[in-house]
Amino acid sequence: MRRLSWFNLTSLTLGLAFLYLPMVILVIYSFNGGKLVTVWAGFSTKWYGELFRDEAFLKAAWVTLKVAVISSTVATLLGTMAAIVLVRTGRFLGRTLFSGMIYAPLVMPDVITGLALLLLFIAIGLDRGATTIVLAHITFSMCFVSVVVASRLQSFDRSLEEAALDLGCTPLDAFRSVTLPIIAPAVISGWLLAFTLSLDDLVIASFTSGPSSTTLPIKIFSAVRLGVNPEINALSTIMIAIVTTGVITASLLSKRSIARRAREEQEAFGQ
Amino acid sequence: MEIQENTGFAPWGDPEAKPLIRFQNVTKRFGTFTAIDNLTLDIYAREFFALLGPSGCGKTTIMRMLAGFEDPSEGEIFLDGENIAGVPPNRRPVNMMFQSYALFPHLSVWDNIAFGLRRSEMARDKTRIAARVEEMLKLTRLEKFARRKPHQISGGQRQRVALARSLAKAPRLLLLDEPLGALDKKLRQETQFELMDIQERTGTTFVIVTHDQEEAMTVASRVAVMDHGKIVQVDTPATIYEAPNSVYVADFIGEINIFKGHASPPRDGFCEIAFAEGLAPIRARAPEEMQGEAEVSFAIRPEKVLIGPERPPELPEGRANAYRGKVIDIAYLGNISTYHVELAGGQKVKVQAANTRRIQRRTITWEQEVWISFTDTAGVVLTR
Repeated sequence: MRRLSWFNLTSLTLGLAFLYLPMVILVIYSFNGGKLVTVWAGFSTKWYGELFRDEAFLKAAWVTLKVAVISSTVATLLGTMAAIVLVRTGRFLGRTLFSGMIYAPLVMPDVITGLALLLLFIAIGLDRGATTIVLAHITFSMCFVSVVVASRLQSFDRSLEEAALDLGCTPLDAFRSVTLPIIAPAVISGWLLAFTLSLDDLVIASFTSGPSSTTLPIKIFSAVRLGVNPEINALSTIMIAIVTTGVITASLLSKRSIARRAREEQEAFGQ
Repeated sequence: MEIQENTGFAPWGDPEAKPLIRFQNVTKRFGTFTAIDNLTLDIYAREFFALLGPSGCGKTTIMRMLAGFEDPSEGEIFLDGENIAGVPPNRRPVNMMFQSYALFPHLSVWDNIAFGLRRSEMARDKTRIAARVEEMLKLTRLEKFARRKPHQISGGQRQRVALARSLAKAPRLLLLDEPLGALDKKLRQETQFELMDIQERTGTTFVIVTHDQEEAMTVASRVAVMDHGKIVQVDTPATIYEAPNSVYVADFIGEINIFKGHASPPRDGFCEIAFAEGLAPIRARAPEEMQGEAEVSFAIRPEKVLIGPERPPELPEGRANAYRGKVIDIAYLGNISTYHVELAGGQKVKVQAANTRRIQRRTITWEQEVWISFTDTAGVVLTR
């Protein structure tokens, strides 16, 4: 291992502190025994217990999860289809308009998307609730999926599909048995992206949610407005733990598969 | 002129033979660009047919029309006497080996080869599929690699997997798109002979697309030389090499010396070509279509020209062409040497001679005055 110079060491420390100090403080205070958020009153896990007894929080968490799973799945389906049309069909009348319109929500401020959707739901007389949040989330996360999948499709070797057709596949069979397995990683990361976006969306959800269904971000935001409460710290700590575990697992898995591939290639050429 | 070869296989010379594939006045346009221009061509069963030309000459388009990825804009393509326009690729008894091999990266070698069989009439018969895959693995010597994925094998092995996969369904016609382009030279030469061997053993008709003239000459029973969407000449490799029908073909295949000149009217089948002021005209066999005098190109291969320090006495008087020149460059290639000789009129001539003696004993060197000579039947007179 190389030793870090004092300059590198300082900048590394400062950078990491800037990124993670707030979170570390939050995690520490989630184990605070006292009622006051900023005054340390001894170690305790009582707020975690409180959290799991709080019906409203649990209900909001459940709604959030449901919305995220359904909306990201539908968005993945629609986004993948849009990506295929954009990359594959070549030139058709209105292609530029179509691609522009698919990517527009990427840069549209959430407030405007939320407001527009709210007006639409009112106009068609749709009662606001979990359904409207799902619809809204599909709308804005679909374009992210489409960007991710389209970039994979662009580097996809078309002759693979032609080979499948040549060997007796119908176009649909060729897509199912060759294209889809190969672009699957992009489709999965598109789904994960849509899922994450839906999980932490506050603005659009607050426009499109109704009194019967509140998502976790809305719940946290409104609770904080009444004063930060140690329960929120506990909840946030749990979320940080989940995300950290996910990220570490994913990176370990991909590292292992890269190592395996390199080893196998070496064996292939070593003989 | 037809150069005789002792292969015995020449269905194209038999007026009774029915072609496997017939292109009839086929034209293919992409927008305003004409890729194939009024092509008429017959290919016979069991042939190893090569389409040869520079990139962009339309050879790949011909192949894609046979595979079913493109349809002709005009004209008809017949396979076994049936018009195949509009038949999708998955319903044609034609398979293709792709230039990039197009192996399915998520499937093992075994599953790649079985892919087409699982979508054929033997789809339900697992034991027959297994037997056929094993047969293909054996044919291409891949038994040891059946369980590997494409990224776990070498380039040469990938090429063999692609071949096995496209042969597995026993197609009537196999299309090979630059099949050896990705291999290094030594492996390519080995694989060429392997391809010929497999073609002979399976009795499949092969159509190969290549820009490598050496490869086309080695493997093919007939070669079609293409230029800008048209076929310039279709003939056996020997005929293409020894009797090209145009300057384009002569220049494209191998090395050649071209003398542009004015030919006298033919007499007794021979004409005389004046090509430079003050030099004796070249005496050469006149082509049949030549009537009267004409502007022509005389083409002669470097290995058909003799070189020596003195005027060669052994050549028959009156039937030989001999010129004085100066050696300006020598390319030593080991087995042969190429001498660049400049004649008095400034014309440069390439001469190839086998190095039958070791280097210290050879007599011709740079700047030396030499004689070059060739008989009156060693070259060809080209009118176009």
